[in-house]
Amino acid sequence: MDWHQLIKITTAPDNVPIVLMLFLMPFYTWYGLKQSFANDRLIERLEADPELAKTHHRKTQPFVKGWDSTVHVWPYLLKIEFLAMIIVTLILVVWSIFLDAPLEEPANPNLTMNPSKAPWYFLGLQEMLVYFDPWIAGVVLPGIILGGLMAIPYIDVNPRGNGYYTYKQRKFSIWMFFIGFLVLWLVLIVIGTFIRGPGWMWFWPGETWDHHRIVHAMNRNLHEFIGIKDSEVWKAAGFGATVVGAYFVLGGLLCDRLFRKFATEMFKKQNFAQYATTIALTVMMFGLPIKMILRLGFNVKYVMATPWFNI
Amino acid sequence: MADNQPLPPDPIRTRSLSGPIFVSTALLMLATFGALYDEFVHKRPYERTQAEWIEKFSAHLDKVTPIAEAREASIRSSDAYKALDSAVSTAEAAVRTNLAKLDERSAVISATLASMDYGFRDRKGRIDEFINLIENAHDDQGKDQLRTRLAAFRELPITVKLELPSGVEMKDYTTTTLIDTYLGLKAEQGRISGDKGSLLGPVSAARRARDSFFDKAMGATLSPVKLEGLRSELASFSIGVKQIYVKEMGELVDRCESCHLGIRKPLELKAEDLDNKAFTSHPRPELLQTHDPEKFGCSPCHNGAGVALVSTDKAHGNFKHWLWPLYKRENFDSGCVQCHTHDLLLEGADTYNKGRELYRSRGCWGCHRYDGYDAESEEFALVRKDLLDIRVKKEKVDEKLATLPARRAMLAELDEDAAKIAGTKINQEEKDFTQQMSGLETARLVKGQRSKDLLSEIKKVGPSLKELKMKVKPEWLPVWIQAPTKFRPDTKMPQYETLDEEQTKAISAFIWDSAVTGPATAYKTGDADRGQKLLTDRGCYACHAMGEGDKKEGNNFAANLSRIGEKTNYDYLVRWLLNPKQKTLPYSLEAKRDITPADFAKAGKEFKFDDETPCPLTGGQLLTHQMTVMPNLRLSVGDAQDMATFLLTKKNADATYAAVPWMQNAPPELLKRGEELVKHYGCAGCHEIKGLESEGRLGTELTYEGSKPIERLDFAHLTNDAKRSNWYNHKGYLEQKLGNPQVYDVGKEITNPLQRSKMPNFHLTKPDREALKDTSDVTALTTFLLGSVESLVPKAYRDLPGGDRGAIKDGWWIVKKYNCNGCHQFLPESDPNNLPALWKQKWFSPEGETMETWTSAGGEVHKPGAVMRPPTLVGQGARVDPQWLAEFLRNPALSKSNPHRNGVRGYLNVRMPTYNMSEGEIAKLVRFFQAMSKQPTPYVRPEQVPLTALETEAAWAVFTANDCAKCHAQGEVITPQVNAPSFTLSPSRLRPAWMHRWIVDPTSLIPETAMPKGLFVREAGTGRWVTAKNPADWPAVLKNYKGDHSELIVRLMAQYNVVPQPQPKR
Repeated sequence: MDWHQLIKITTAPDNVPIVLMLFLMPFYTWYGLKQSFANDRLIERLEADPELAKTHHRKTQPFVKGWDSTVHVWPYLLKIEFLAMIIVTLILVVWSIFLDAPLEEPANPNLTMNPSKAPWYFLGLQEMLVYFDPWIAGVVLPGIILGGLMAIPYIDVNPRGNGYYTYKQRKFSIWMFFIGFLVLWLVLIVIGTFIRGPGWMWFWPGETWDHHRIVHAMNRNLHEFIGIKDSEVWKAAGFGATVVGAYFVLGGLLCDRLFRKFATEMFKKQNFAQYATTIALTVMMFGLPIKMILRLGFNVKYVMATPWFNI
Repeated sequence: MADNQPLPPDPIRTRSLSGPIFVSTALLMLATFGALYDEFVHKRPYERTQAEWIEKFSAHLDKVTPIAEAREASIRSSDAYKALDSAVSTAEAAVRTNLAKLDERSAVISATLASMDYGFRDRKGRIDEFINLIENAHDDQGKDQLRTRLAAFRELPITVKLELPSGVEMKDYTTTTLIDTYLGLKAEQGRISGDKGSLLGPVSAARRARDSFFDKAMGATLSPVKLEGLRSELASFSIGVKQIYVKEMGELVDRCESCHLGIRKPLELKAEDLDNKAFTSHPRPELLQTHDPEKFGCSPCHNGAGVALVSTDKAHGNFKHWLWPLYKRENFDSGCVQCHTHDLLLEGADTYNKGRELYRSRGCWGCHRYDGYDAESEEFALVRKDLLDIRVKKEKVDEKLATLPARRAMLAELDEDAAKIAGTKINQEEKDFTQQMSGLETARLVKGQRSKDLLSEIKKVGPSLKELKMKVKPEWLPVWIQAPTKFRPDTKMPQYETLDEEQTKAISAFIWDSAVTGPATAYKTGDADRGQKLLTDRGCYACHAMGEGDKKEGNNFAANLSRIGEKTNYDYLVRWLLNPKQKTLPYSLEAKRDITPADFAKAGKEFKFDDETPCPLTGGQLLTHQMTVMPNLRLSVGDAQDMATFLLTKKNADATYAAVPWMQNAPPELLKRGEELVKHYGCAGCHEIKGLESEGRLGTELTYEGSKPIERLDFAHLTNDAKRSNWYNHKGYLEQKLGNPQVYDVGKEITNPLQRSKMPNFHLTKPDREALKDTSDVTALTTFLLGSVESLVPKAYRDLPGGDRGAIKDGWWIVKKYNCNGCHQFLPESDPNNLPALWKQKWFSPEGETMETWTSAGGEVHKPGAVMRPPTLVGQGARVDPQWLAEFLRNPALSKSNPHRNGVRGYLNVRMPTYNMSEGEIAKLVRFFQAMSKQPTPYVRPEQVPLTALETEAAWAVFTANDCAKCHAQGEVITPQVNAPSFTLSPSRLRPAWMHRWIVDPTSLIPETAMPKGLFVREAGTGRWVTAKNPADWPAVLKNYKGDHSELIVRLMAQYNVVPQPQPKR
């Protein structure tokens, strides 16, 4: 267990925000969920007792008749925001005193750093490059992610949960968000920051980063596992297309079954286009962890390999 | 429904955040002050350092002042000072009255001029205006009018109020007289200043003499006045960043002086004086005179991060992201390397000099190219390429010329006009081609000569392995190859630690098999006893050593001969002693092989070759001599046999050697393996081996090793170790590598020994950090290589001089190459470390005079003592005629018929050898000597006015009176009491001006000379030099001779060979 290496990684000025993220994300997730569950319990009580619902819809104290139902932003909101601003400034000032900007030696175009890492907001994409080719990982998937995010307002047919935390009323959204963001995206960032070392090789925490390390990895395309050679282009392409097609079809059917059972309301409310989009996005999203497992666990390079693009 | 109860307060409205806001604001204020503190105090340690400096330096000045005052008082009260001071007062007194008079007059003039000033300017200005108007007037009439007015104006009166020291006067002038008077007074004032100046001349000179005496007496101690100056400078010291900015050095910014405040102070400050290491003054302040920090900065020489101020570590560049950390104190002269690239002997940079010399002498350049080392072979390759190009061009021209007769023949078929045109064209072409041809021929001759020169200059680090069959005993070879340092602990050859038995066998077999055999002479045995003595006498220990440990005698330049008897063959050894450059078979550079007697026979030539012989196969150049620096001592056969017989007795009694039958008839696989290994280890980089003559160098070029990016230095498995123990930098890499070349193989799983690092172990002495001065080999080489960088210093700053300084640098390369300083003294230093190695031997030192004189066969008397040393070469450039010197260096015997002697000092037993240097090297050495003695070039021999008969007689009279023949040789005969050169050499050898100084005051030129001082004295009255003998005893011719005796002798010497000898007196 090389503590020195671990300390070096976690205290590198570049990585300090990600270390903070490791604590902040779980904390705020827990905080939000705690509030969601509390709200859910309140909703239950209020649904059972309509009279109570008229006055007890506020979180901290029941509403008393005679109070204003709206208050001015100034000063009541702003004083809270003012306090927040002071605290944030304080944190930033203290941070900047103790952590200097990581200035390194003058850039030498003839000498690249090893490892050469993207900033944290692109680390996820850089990690995805391990599993997909650059076209898919750098263009298609980010495009779909952004497109998907933009599509959410149009496929989200659940009107509840505006302005208050709730779990019971937004189960599907929350689960999708947790899996897609917290698990997939953040995990990719954490891998990119702490696990990937020189040569983008996998180093468990506590392993010394050694750019001389030799890793034997015979990654093969999926079609090679069943004997189709790379040179048999059409056969390979056909096989790959079949596999991918099968994944989408089977995955879609499975999603359909699961949504009908567990997200019935959504199923009922969405029209065909919305439903199809939801299923498509879900299947594509789960494609990433599946591909990761195939690659890391079974040394599968590409599921579908053609001279024009690979998945 | 009205609600009578009062409303409970709405928490949104009533909840106060004052508390949290107050607390956070307070914390924010604290943080802000913290930020300000961090920025202005914590990150500016230099401000505290400077405050400390003010306090401590002031205290130091207070401490030092009384000492300085006491010293000043003692000097001022000394007799010498008082004498000078009274000289000043006397001088001042002498001029006081005149000076006063001049001052008085000057005062009057000044006052007058001041009073006249306004009027002068007014009137003069008007006149100038008039003249301008006249010149620009439209017509003559206008001009005349103006002229008249001007004339009138010139006569216009003016009354001036003169405010003189004596009182106020009113004086009348006209314009003209005013102006004239004014100008006249001004001129007079000028003259008065001049007169004052010349009056004060002696006074200033006396003052200067007194003050310079005072300064010299004070020495390094600063006078109280200067200390006061320092104190007032300190009083006006303002705390802030002190930086040097040099635009030419790539916008260099060095802020070192913000903490190193004592660096440029004129007094010596040690760390104890001010209790802070940063405040010391620069050691050797004369370095700052030649390298003014305002022009050089600090970091070009010392490295480090000159711009940083935040902490000591950052400022010294000791952190990961500054690639060029400060040179540590043991490597301080690394910074010299980048500008002083050509120096072998840089004054003041001992570690650097040692590093450079080690690189040369241990033969690092055999594997690792470095600019400037082995320049001869590189130039040789280029010149040969040029010669080849010339040959190709010549062939082309030849071809074209060959076509001309045919074309001329065809002219007959053309009609007249066409024939004429074509004919002219052909003639023109012929002329062009012939011209080209002669140009190419000239170039070929020039380059050919250069090529020959260079071929004789190229030397290899180690001995040639081509003649091993004739030279060594076969059973010795594997013992040596396996572990050279076991056989000879102080050998230059490094140890290849990865050699196992199999490899050693293969290499020995290959090397042995590749060696040539040729015709050899058998020599008779000699006298070992005599040989032992001759080895000392002839000066062999100037280069070679004998003995181990504290019994070791001699020098480390060449091999230690303690066990040579175990290894060498007698006949080869005698042949080697007689002529080290002799090669058994010549090597053809074009055919790339040795030329055997059979090849000569095939070409119908006798098997004889020298430097001029062309190759019988190709007609090209032959390498006809060994590439060794060992010179030819022109020994007689008897001498060589004696010495070889003695050397063969030098063995270790208990040394045993295994028989090596496998070496004599080695199977082809063994030989193949041997060749593969020899190529793998790069033996041909240092040795001449048959078949591998043109092998390249095995190692990396090190000319810019200091600039290599750290990522390219392979620390292998020690990388993390190095990073964590803080030696992950060039210094750490080099020190580890040089200390143990295999160090970076540690931890590697290597099964094939050929995959190990090829660099052998040189057994360099390791650094000693505790010592005050680290003189280890590793530190020296590290310093040298650390500083070998691609310098950012502009070319104008670099030390690449031509002229005298360049000649001196060039000369040192040759002196070190041939170890001239093993016998001769070059620098007038009294430092015993600069003594030539030979002079340290007992036989050649004053203690040696107790040792026994002996006579060798042939009657040569061998004497011990300092008088038998080779002569000092200090001042040689001023002494000898450069043309003679060149001739001497070509053949120090100065005789073709009798080579077994020294041409100049035949009475010395120690032999000045023949080095067979190229013309280029001889020219460089001659220029070196001239430059060392600051002699102008070229040297033109002064014309000699022939002596008249009377002068001849007088000259011989002086000669006899001084009994010159007592010590100086007469011609070629050496009698026992001779210990000075013959005069027959003087006309061609010595410079007349030097001769004059020599005979009048020899000890001023060479303090330890045996030549007596005071042979001549100045005659009272005339001031001419005359012989010191009593004038009453002078012969008549001398009494009548009125000229200078010393000049007469010099002329005699300069014409010695043409002047008739005196008739012997009865």
